[in-house]
Amino acid sequence: MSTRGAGPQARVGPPGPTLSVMRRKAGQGARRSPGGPPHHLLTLALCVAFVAPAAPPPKLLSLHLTPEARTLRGKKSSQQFLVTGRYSDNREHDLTTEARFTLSNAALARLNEAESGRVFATSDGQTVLTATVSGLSARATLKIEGSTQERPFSFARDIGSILTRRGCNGAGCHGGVKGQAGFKLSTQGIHPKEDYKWIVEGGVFQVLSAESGGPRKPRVDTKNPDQSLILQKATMTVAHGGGPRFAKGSEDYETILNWVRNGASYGAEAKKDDPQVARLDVFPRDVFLRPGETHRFLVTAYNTDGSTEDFTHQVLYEPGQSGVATVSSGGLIEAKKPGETGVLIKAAGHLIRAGVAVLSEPLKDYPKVTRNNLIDEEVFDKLRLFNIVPSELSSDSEFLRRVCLDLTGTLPPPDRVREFLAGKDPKKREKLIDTLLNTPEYIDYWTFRFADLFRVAVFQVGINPKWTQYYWEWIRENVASNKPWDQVALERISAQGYSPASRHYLPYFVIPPPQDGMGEQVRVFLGRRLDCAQCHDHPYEQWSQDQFWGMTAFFGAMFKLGSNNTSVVFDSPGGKEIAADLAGAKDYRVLHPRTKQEVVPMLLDGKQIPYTPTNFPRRELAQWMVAHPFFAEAAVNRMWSYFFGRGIADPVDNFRSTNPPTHPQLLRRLSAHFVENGHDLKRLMRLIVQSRTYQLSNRANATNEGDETNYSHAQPRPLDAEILLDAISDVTGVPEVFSTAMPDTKGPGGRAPAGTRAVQLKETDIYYSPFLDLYGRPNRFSVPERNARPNLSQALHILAGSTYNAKLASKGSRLERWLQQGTPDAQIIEELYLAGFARFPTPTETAELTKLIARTPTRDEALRDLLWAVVSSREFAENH
Amino acid sequence: MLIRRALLAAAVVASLWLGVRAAAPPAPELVSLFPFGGQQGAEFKATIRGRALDRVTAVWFDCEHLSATISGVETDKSSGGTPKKATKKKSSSGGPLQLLSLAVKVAPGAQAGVHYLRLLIPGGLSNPLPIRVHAEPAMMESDARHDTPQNSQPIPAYPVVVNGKLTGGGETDYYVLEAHQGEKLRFDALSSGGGLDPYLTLYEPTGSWFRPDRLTELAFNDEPVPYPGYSLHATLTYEFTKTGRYVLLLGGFLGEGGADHIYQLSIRRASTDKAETDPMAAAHLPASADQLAWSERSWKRELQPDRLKVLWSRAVPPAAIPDIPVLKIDDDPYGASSAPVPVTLPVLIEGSMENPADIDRVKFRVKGGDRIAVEVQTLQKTIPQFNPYLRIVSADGDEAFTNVHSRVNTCGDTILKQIEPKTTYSFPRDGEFILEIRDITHLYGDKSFAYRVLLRPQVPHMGEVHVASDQVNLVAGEVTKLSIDTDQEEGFDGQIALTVEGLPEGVRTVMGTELVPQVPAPFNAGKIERFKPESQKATFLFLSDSATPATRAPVEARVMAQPTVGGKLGKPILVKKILLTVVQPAAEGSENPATKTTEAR
Repeated sequence: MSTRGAGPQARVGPPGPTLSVMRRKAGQGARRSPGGPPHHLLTLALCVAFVAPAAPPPKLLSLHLTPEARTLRGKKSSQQFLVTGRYSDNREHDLTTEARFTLSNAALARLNEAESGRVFATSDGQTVLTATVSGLSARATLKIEGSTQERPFSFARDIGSILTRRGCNGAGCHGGVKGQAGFKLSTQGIHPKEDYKWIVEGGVFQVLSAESGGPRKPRVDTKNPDQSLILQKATMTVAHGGGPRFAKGSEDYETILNWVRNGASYGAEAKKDDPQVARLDVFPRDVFLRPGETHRFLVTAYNTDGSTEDFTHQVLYEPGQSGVATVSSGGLIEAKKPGETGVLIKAAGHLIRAGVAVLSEPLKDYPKVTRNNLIDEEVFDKLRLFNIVPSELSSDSEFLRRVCLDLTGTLPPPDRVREFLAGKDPKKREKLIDTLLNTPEYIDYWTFRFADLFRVAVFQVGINPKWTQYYWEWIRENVASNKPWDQVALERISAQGYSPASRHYLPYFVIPPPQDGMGEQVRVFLGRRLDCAQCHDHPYEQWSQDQFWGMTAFFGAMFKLGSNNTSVVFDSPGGKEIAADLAGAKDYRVLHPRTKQEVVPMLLDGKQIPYTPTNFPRRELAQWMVAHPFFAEAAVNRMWSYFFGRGIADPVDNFRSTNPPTHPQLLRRLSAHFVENGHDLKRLMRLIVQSRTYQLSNRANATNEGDETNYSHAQPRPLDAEILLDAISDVTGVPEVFSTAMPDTKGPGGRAPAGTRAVQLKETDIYYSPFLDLYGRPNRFSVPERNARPNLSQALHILAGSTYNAKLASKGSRLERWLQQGTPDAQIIEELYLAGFARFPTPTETAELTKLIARTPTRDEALRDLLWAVVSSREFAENH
Repeated sequence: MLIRRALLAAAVVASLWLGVRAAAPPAPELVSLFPFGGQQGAEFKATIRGRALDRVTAVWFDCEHLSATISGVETDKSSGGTPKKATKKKSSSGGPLQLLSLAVKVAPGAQAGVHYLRLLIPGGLSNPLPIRVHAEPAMMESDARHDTPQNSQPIPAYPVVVNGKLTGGGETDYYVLEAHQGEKLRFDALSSGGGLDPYLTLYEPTGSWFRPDRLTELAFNDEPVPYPGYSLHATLTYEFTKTGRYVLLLGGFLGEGGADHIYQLSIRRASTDKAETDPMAAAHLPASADQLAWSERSWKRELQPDRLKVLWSRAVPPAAIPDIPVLKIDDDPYGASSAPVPVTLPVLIEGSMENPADIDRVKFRVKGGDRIAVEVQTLQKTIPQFNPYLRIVSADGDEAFTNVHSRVNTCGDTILKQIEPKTTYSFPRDGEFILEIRDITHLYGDKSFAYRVLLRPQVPHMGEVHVASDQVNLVAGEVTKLSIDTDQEEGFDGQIALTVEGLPEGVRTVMGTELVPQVPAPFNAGKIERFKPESQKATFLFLSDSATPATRAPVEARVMAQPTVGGKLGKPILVKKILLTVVQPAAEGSENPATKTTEAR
């Protein structure tokens, strides 16, 4: 059964409101989201946030019924309606439960008493549904067609939906990698034919084979239908690790029982023209409630023929944080405590996400906060909605140190600190940003960052330092010339020949398995991890094994040509394996691990790009990737993380339904800005550091001290190993010496040029440095994820390690020069504070430290201790 | 006269050792020469580092325009850098490192490029060391430290060649020079070997907000792309956009350094000629260069209309051999979808891959059993930048063969592919075929991706002749072998007569045999027969009796090869010049002669 209709279903359509839309005028919101939710929801959100608790009791002003019109088609078709009331305090509430429903022609439809607002079709015709609350009413038109027509049975739709709704095929149950207790279902029923086989024919699933791993014992019994294992397990008639899923006699039980009774057929094979569910949508997409309040979701399936169908009662609702809100099987949300949670809404083969925000009590006198750009608009809107007041603007000192470290990885020298702090120019921050963006240190630092991301390492690039440097220099040139990010991605993904970007395809002089190359490019440039779908359909996402191998096939024609040192990367023209007839050769084509069939390159959207003698599918993949919305989204998210310590979606390369962005509209706007400006990374960085959000102080206030995800104040971030080491070298005035030789080995070993900073190492993996390793230098074997957590070894190294102690005692150090020059204690203290913390010591600090030095028998030793204290302090080792 | 005197002196010294006979004394082992070159017409002092240098009787150059005077030998007290590779047997590996001082004269007529120097001692002739002759003025690296941007050594003028050394690990040499707006300079960091693999970085001393003395990188060397293979030399070409002072950094790729890490830094205006010559190319080839330089499968060998004549000259040629017609595909009207141009064999096709993914096509007819060879020459860019991929497909699109030699590795988990400049094929049936010519990548192409492809019937001929060594130290009264491998191309089934000409008095050669392990082609060799020739091994035995006098200077002998087919002799072909030295066995208890001064060619 399906329903048809115009207008209302369009509102239950594309992505719903987001926080930023709410501050727009209604008309603007409508333009941005045609067919989006009614504006009363936006108002609801605003009111929830901003109305003072002491306001007089609100009065119901109007009522709205959603959807406003709907067509029901087929026997037993139904529609859930949502009644929302608008109050005098500008808030809206879900009044579905309180409403009284009447039909203008009760012979056409039936109201379900147990489920408020749900209407079942009984006869063809048109009727009007009226909802009444406190004397106000709202109407919706209901058209009913084919009310006596049974829909042909479909296993995928009729049984698959039960398995999904009841959680049987969830990733944690039989939809997991290997299923449960020998019974495997495809995740969310995306492969109904396979599910049918495992149920009707029985057998034990194997990951890399389509064959049964054990004897086949059907889970249905057509001779004794009620003895079918699938029913006995679900009702706990026999032991079931997953507990009861439905009761005997329930609608789902009866559906399955009747199916078995009727022979357990697969049903009608879907024809090409048969309407299929194309997508799901949920209304509202974002819900804002106070603790204790409820609201209802309406879920609509959009079919391929343009018709719609109410799926509100046919999906599984899974809130991520059930402590924040719960959702009933009928879509009723109940707010529990302040916070945010995503709700995954699953139907067979489809998944969408909605957001629920439970807001705390509104603040009186919420301050007006200056907004510098779109970042502040989005961040501060959300803060206001959640009644969190952002911290004050950072001090000049705080800002200077932070922005220098974030843009250049370098501490500002004392003279520059003095100069900046003394500056009176109101635009001095903007000017400093522009200056920093054009320093050679900026190039060094971002080359280091991208060398990390792109895995520049001797042992990852052919064990060949020349290639490593060639590749590193390509990255450096990209940074120096501010090459558009999409161009960088195109060059890297589709790299061929003897080009520097192609070197990363030759770890250990051989082309890596195609799935590795694909997985990395998708992770780096699209921010997604498809890896789980390598062996099975992705357990938490809609990535299927077919998609994984379809994408992998783009990398399946890659070969190395020539000897090790002059290796050329190429894609075999036509994709044909040139060496297929070689003795000893295996099958080198990309084969689907389960079907053993050769896989045709296929984009994530399903478009196939077969190899021809002249095309270059990997290039087409790269072009598709950089044009995909995921690309810009992943880029801005990653860049954001470099400045805030976490991504808007975090981890930055693991966007998924269960890991949504905290600020989706900010992400969208930043992505749009990034694309509109030609994928200009420098411009994006400028936008970020110019925002007040970035420039907020790290000092929390009473409203934001618990906030870690909404950017209400700066969060201290540990300096990465290389940055910290360079900072120690700068403050002590003793450059690090990087050697390829272990200290206990004989022979000179290689050394980086004198004065080389850690961020400038081109092949970081061959330089021996216990310090860098202790503080989390990645080996770059895979896309690095730096571990910023402190550990005991670091503490020991601070106390006794060579990096700290050798530099303190080293000749030619900054301290030694001061001592030789007879610099007074107070001046040394000031210099150290400026160099290490980018601030002047407070008078108390100076006085206390001066006394401390005076009390110590040896002045040199006291000053060395002071220097040690500075570089081992948390204030020094963090960017804050 | 001087040479004669020097050789005489050497002979006298040598006669002192004719006492008790024993094994031949060790040949000297040369490790490095510093500086490793000089300007045409100049004289410079140099030091050879090596072992067993204290019995040197003569310095031998491969060019009459080079000469040297030895001024002394001393033990290398610094001796930080032991040579990385031990040289051949009978070398003096393990002995103390010594420094031999000499003054080298480069006559104005000396050809620019790399020459070779060897030392002669009673034990024989040493291994060669390269010595580079150049036209540009030379200067020495300063003794003062110039290992930071701040103390960079000034380069007062260019063109210039700076002779320098990275003596310690992590050492870097900085140079500062003045360049002018619009000027395009080429910098070459040339390694003499000895483990140095240099890199170059060009900086502008811009200063920065953080550090006033901070440099900003402008360019890094583009090596190893310019020269095929794993080059030890770095090249950087840069066009300056403004006049000013610039800093050049020269270091070792892995921060390596040592006594033998010797370089020449060449700075000159970049040639307007796109085809820059390799500054480390051999200075000259001896007479009969065309024969000595025969390379069956070089990407740069000349494919000309007379190619059939040239090939037949290495067999027994028929009476008349026509020139090969040339088809020029100039303006690339033949894109990937263009129709193939009909041709008849043989044909020489000239064209270029002007755009990425261009494909040039010709079609031709063959009869079943026709044996053809397809050869390709790269005219400007070559591998690994331009990788000509030749694919022959039937009219219905089935691939017959390509010039890619594919094989699997021993584990069977990786396919190894090598693109070859020549392949052969026998057609099993009549038919029309299409030859596709393209770069194997899809991303690169311009006019410098120029090629010649020769499609021709096979010519059975003598291929390359590989002589195992270019020098023979023969101890009087003993026998020394010299192995020779002869390649037989395209089904050549004749014989190859081998002789050595120009032997010194008392020395003769006889053909011998040696055990050659029979190694079958590995299972994973792929279709190697299409890319590699058959080969046979021969062995010369060099004989002399004990009365054979020691040679006072190496004698240049010539290895000749003469193909024979069907009882007819082809032309003799010079395939190798070798340096032959007859030495006397070392006298037991003989003392090292005093350090002496000698001068020799």
